[in-house]
Amino acid sequence: MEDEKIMELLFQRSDRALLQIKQQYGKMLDIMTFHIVGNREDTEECINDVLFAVWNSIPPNRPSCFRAYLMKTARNLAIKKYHFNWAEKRNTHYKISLDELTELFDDKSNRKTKGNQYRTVMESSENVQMELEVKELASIINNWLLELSKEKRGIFVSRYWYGDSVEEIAELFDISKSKVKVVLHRLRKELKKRLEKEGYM
Amino acid sequence: MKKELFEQAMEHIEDEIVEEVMEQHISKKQVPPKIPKRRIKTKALVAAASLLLIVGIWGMSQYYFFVGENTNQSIEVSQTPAILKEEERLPSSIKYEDLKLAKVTETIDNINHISDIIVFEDTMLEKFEESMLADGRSIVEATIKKAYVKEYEYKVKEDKFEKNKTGTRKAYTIVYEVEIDYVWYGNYKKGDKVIIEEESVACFSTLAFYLEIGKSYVLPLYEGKDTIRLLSGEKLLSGNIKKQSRVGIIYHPFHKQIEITLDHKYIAGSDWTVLSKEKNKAEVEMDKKENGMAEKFYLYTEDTFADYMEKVVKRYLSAK
Repeated sequence: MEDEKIMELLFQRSDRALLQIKQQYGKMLDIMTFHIVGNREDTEECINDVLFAVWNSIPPNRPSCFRAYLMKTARNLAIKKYHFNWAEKRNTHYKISLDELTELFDDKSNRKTKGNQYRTVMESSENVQMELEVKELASIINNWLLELSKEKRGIFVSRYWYGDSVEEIAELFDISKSKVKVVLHRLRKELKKRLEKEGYM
Repeated sequence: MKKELFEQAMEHIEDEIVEEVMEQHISKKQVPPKIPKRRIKTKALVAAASLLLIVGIWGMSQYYFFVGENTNQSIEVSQTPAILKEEERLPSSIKYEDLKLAKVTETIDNINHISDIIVFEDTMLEKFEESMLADGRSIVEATIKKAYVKEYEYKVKEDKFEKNKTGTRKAYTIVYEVEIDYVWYGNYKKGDKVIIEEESVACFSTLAFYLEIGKSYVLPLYEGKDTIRLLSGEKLLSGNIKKQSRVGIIYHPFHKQIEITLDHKYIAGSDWTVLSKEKNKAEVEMDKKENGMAEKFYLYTEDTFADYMEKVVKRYLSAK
């Protein structure tokens, strides 16, 4: 069934929409969510939350890209569960992939934070500031991704967004595991350079 | 950058990128179809028979691969697909000066001193073969940060030509201070600073291929002795012959080590005979006098090189 038809069913408030989503995208949702939360119970709970979230948000929303909307919703909910349930203690695919990006992270704030003199600023302003930073960083990452070749972009996003293992990526792109590791290593280096150039490192 | 900031930013990946990756997953049939139960038994039998057949064929091929005169032929060369992806297609040839090469930041002082060398009797120069990598402990990619000549002066006693004769000797080594960029095999990690020290042996400066400061190379490393080598029959009387480092580079300085360009391609001599059988490569045109032992030099993409290195590591290093 086409995504447009699924959205129409959602707008008609028909249960068939959720059945269709499960049938069409259930396995992909399952794999991605499991990569992040790392256990069966949380995965199933998450998928139910995703269906609930989609049911409640469409309508009024009418996303132009239903599949992407669905996967992003799933990912966001899975990451929330990951943090909430202390899944960091488990070596999920998501945790392992985040660990690879350690060289991009530091505990200290960087150029965008204001320092002690602004600690009296109201929380809502700080949230706004954080939102702006997130949007700006997202824009940098998106632009960088779009400059990459389709394969490299696919490898990066499969690993650090979708949470695929190196073996899964190798199979997906018909390449060796070594090559996957090399490409990921290079891409992390390039992303770091770009972030340094933009003042985020 | 805070991890939370990155995580939140990743939530805003563009829809078209998410769609593209989803397509890649779906088209690869990441979701396997459900097999009806009644067909599973038949499929299991067929699978078992196929596996036996594959193992049998593999066993025969290994016999012919490994029991051969030339063990270098035992590594399979990757099959380049007939239609290469656009980004990986290399021209048939390219000039060395047209490659994206790192700048040499400084030259090594006193490098010509090394031509005044001690010749060891057993120094017969064998032709380089990939099987020599089995003598090593690691293969890394590293950038040369510093390089200098180190001089050792010591007194020896030797009885070879005259009883109790003493003499003063000078030896030179070349010391490289490198930073590890990538580890193909071994116990190093990215960012490690390693000191490599190589004695100069039977080598005139025109035939020696020293690493250049500022450039990056693929370095097969070994661990040697921690002292300068004495000639046979000689005994140390005084002087310090303890080296700074036991780490050396296989076959240095007798051929150009594999150089890495700034856009992550690899330049290797044709004396890497198995590697040079790869189809997707460009011949690198350079001055004849630069070539030394290798007849030709080739440029490889990182994809080709990564596939090759996986086989090399498996064949010569991880099996140890």
